[in-house]
Amino acid sequence: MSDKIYWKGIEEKEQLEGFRTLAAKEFAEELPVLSSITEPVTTGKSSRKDFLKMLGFSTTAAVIAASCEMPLRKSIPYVWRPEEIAPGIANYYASTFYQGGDYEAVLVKTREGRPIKIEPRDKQNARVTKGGSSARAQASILSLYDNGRFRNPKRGKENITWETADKEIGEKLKSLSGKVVLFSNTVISPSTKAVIADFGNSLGAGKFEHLQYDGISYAGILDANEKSFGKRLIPAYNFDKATVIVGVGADFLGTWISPTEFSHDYAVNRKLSKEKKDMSRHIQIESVPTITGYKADTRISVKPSEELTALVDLYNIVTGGGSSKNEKINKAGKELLAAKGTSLVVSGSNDVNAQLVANAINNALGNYGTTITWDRPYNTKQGSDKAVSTLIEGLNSGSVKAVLFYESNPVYNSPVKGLADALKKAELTVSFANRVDETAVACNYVLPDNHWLESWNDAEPKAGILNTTQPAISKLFDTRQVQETLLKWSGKEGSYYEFLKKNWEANFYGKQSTYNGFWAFWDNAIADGEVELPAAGGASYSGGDVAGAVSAVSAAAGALGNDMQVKFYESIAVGDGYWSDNPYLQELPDPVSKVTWDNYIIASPQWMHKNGYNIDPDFKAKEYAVGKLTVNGQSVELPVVGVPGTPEGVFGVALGYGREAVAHPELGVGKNVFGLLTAKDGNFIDVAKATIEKTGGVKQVGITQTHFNITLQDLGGVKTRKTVKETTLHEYKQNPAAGNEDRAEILEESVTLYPEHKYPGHHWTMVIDLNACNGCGACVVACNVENNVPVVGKDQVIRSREMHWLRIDRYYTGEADNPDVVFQPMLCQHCDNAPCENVCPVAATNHSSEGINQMAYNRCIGTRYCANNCPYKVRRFNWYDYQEADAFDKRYGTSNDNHPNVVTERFGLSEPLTRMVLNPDVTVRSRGVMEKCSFCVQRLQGAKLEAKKENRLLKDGDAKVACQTACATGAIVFGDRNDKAAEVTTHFNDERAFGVIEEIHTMPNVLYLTQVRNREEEKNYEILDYYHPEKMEKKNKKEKV
Amino acid sequence: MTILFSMKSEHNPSRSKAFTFTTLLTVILSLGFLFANAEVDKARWTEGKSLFKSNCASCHNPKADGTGPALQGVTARWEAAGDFKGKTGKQWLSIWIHNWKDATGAGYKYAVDMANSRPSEMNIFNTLNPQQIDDIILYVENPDAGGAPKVVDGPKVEGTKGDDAGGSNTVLYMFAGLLLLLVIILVNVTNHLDKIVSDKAGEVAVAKLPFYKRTNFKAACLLIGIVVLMYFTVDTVTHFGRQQGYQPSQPIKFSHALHAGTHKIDCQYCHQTANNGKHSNIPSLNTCMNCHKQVTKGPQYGTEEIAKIYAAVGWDPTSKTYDLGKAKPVEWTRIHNLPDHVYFNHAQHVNAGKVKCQTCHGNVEQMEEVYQYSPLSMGWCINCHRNTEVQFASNNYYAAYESIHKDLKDKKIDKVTVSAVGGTECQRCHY
Repeated sequence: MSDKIYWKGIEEKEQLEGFRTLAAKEFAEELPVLSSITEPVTTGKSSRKDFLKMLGFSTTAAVIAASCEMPLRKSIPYVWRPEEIAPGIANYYASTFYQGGDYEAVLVKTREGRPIKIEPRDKQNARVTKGGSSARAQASILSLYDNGRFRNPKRGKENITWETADKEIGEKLKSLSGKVVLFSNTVISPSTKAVIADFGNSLGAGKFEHLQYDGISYAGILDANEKSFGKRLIPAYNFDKATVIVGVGADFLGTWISPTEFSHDYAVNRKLSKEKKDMSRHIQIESVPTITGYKADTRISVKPSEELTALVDLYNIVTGGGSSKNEKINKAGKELLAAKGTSLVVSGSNDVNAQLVANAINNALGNYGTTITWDRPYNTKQGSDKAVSTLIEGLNSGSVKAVLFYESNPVYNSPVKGLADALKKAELTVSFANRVDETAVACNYVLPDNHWLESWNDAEPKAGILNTTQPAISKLFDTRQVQETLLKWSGKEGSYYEFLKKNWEANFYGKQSTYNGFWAFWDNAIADGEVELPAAGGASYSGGDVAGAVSAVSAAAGALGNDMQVKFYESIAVGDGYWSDNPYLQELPDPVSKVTWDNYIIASPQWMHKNGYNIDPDFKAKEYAVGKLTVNGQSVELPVVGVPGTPEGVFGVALGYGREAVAHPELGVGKNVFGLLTAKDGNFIDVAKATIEKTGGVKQVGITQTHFNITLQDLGGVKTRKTVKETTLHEYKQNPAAGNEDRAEILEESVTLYPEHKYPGHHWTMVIDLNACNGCGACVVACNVENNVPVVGKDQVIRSREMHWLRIDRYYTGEADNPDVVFQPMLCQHCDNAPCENVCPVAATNHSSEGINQMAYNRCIGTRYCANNCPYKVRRFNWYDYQEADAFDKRYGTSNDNHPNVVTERFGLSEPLTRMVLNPDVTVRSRGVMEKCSFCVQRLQGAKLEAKKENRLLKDGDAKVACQTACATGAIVFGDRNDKAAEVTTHFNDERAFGVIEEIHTMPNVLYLTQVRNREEEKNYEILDYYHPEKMEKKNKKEKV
Repeated sequence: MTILFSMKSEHNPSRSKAFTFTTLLTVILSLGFLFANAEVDKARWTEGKSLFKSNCASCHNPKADGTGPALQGVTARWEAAGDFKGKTGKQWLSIWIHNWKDATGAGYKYAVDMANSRPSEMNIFNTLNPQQIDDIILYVENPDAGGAPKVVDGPKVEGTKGDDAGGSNTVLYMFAGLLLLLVIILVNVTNHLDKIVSDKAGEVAVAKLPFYKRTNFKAACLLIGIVVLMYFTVDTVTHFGRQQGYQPSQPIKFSHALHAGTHKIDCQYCHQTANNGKHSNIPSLNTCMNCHKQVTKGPQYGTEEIAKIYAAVGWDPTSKTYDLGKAKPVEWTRIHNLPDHVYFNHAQHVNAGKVKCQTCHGNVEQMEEVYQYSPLSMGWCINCHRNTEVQFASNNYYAAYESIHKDLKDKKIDKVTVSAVGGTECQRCHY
């Protein structure tokens, strides 16, 4: 059993004074309200008179407010109630999310006709994403109600009607002398492609071109596959079939190709149980840390150039032609060889040659046909990096006279400069964007597209897997679906819906044999959201010039030099910038760095220490030294944040930030670094040689990594308390309780003076498998949306006031240059012996007969004793009326001299339009109220009621909490522990199950399963030493026995 | 106290007049006390009435024969039938009401005759406890005792039943008044006795201040004043936002008394979603049109109010066609408002709990214009959750509550109320 010391950041590892002060307190700041009483606005001194004045005012105000008459409320029923809509009952519609290059099979939850939540579809109807979800899909619901949406068509800044737009543009299209270009990101809708083709045909031969461009480029792998297989496609990767996985700079759990699917498949082979005692082995070779690397059994920390050489080395090893200087890579190569046919090597590089080498490795290992299959290749990435240059050339040469932008923002996310200027040369520029973006600003016309929740569409994410998108709400604004617009311009009659149906009848109905009759086929396709057509794929490996590729890769690695290198990466939250106007995603702490609301330069903590980028000693202010990073003569100034696991001399910067044209200026945080990507053979390479210098400036960063610390070293006489437990597969096989041996003793020693609670009906319990959780954050956003958790803004995050009910604690252990990492979702533990319950003076938080630690907002008077007494630090206090639940508080809406501390950034959740996203079953909390995870009690009550209505027992799986449904890996299992057959009961009784700091006898109802690493090598850990001699003695005794 | 006082009075014949007066007062107040006991009976009567309405009224009327016989005088009839197996006729009546098969099964002749006298069988009411049965009997024997329900007039309705605490509070007030009076009388007596003693001792009488100028009295008054003020403050504050009796005027003079009362249209014919959904829907106009395509004239307002429906739904009664373009939904004024932090689900009560609509909404079928019958206060909710039994035996969902089933079997408990399955916990309604 390892008694390792875990830490959440360098400030904790080094036990910095500022950190210790902050961590010892429940609240980062003193009560601001007190200061307004003790130091009134005018004098700066306190006086009894002021106190009395305030008292008088508040009493009078309360009396006036209370004596007001009850408002007259209207109830307006439907004139004609649709049969399927009953007020108060949610309807679910199968639909398909495909936005910003991300695909997901979803169900849209609507209440009284408005979508309020995105849920993943059940596995049988989600053959690609397999019932999982991502943070982006979860957050996308907010963009429907975004105040920044275009509300009608525009010519320049002027609002016009659709008739005017159709007339003007129709005439232009006819009179144009040059080509029309439709510029989009990857289109995966076969019917949309047909519409585009029809539109092109209507313009005449040679007068139309469709260019596809993806901000996050997969051109390298596409081009490589074209050379190796003759198909410019990406094959299916079967992580569930792989026993040895080697990732080379590919963040396949976070962002690479199809992360939701890969997370699911990967976890299948990582979960352990009594029946399944083996798991895959995952080796990650990477420079800038990703969640995939943090999840790996062995993480080989290398420079970006060494990621390339590692590929060459691996190729040489598996083909029997050499070895690596790095022993770890040699070992990885041997393991791959030992697992021929069930291994998998993936590379995240956008260098064609690197991908050719990766293909050669997989071919040499015999992985094609097993772990990599060509029967259903992906359609989700088709973009070409040359698209923007082609467009600019066309515009400059005059051959292109009109450009239509659909779901694409190349003015922002293309490294090629000069597009905005070139667009001025076109006679017609149209953007179909539904929210403001940089490209729309550069266009003559904005003809807003419907939001996807208002649209009919289809999608084919993988060959032969067809999805349908159906509208879940009527159009909110005067927008029109792009497909309708194009149909109109090509002179076709009828709606896109009709077109879609005809297209399916003509092209897909005949390929299936399940349904007899098109209507049966179509209705089921709409209801299920997905149809699987027989696979018709296959490609054979032809190699290509592997030797040439190997030498080119070596050369590319050499060109990066031995000194400082930078890697530009895609962040889990904002992607290629498409999502950076989403407040939910901006406030989602990055799983790796735990930073919100910014991009920054990731650096090695040791390098920072050596080069004087010291952490602010007053840690409260969260000030980070700003560095100036220069690549190819261009530079960007950003704060430097240390991330353990980054090699010295390696820097990372996230793409997708620094949006200039966004509806809310607060959302344009960070800097745009797309311009710093290097073009190579027409593709954009995300790694480069770099230099960095200190600017001398500092910047505040909303970093949450050491907020809400559960354990503070040396407090209460123990060095540190146990929050996570881990073991190795070898030990686990010998003893399933490995790493968790102390639990029996802890439970035995626990005594309580309080009477035991009784749970006559249900006993809700959650078990989280640390082995499956990869920290991606989908659960966090799902929880926010489900439970009306407010977005508070960067300023409030810096003050440790983020409201997330569920956070993901990320623990490091070992050496800072390449530590082991454990992700631990931390939410209210619903303790049977809850310390918060005893201290509430008004019993606003108490225990239910179903094991829920319940929080009654209307009873809470805001003493915050409960938060102070919570050992898990999961209670959140509403410092402001973040969502304007009380109209009375509206005057605090903007900050002024008298209220310097008030929230200035509300991010829309208080605006009437945006409030439509709120879940009507959950109270919107007001200022001065404590809140926390409720185990989604509204869902539990709903499930119980359904059972009662159907006169039956509640089945396992009827009640699912929001975080659980969103989790792609199935790490979160929830259910009723009184049900002996429930999945959660099995997990609860598993030998791996443990409670966090159980020794204080809180008896949590949330347990965790130990993390198991499939590796032999041991690292140097700082080992826990007990301070108490009697503990030492006990430990010695045990050892003697 | 009264006896003690009269004994004392014998020693002081000179003050007999005053004492006679106080004695009289005391007697009156004591009578008041007795009257207050009658008030308790009224509460029982009211309980009986509501039980009768919800359980019996579909077949019985106290005064008229219906499916079942007229019930006034039923006690006398059963008592006249005589004792049997050591039980009085009245006891057999209770048994009959609870489960008539117990009475016929035991062979009580009157019961057997009664069972054979009618073509239809009586329902079994084994959920009624003896107290409830007595209440029902009390009501049917005195159907007019409560007086006619007061006419609803203006937004506040007096006399609608909601808080049943009123009766017992009256008793308490009277008792407190009595005590206060006694204190005053005793103080007077002591003073007089003092005076007599000092007179006898021949002491020179010191002129005393009248009682109302004394500090003690002023302090007492102040104290009482503060207490009274505080009571009213608290009472008023706790009633903020409550709208019991709220009866706003509605855009269409729709009569529930006519539809649900006279025509006996089931509540859920119009309010369909009450059985399945969180909300009980206000019917959309197409529901109205199911009947009002034919019914074009009402008994009270003729065509005037029905024309409003036609206008709202876009129906042209002459051409008998819809023009939905002209449709405009009716803006009803919402009567039952709960605070935003309260979750209430109709299906939970109507479907799972089998609670009658009238339990919370009153006898809507008698209301010309609907008003808020219940206080909709938390105390009102909680009281009901404490007393109402869940469908523990009949709904399979509750099979999961094994320990409670065992307690029930072992007779440790005799019923399972909503609160016994956690129905009074915060997060059943607040989340």
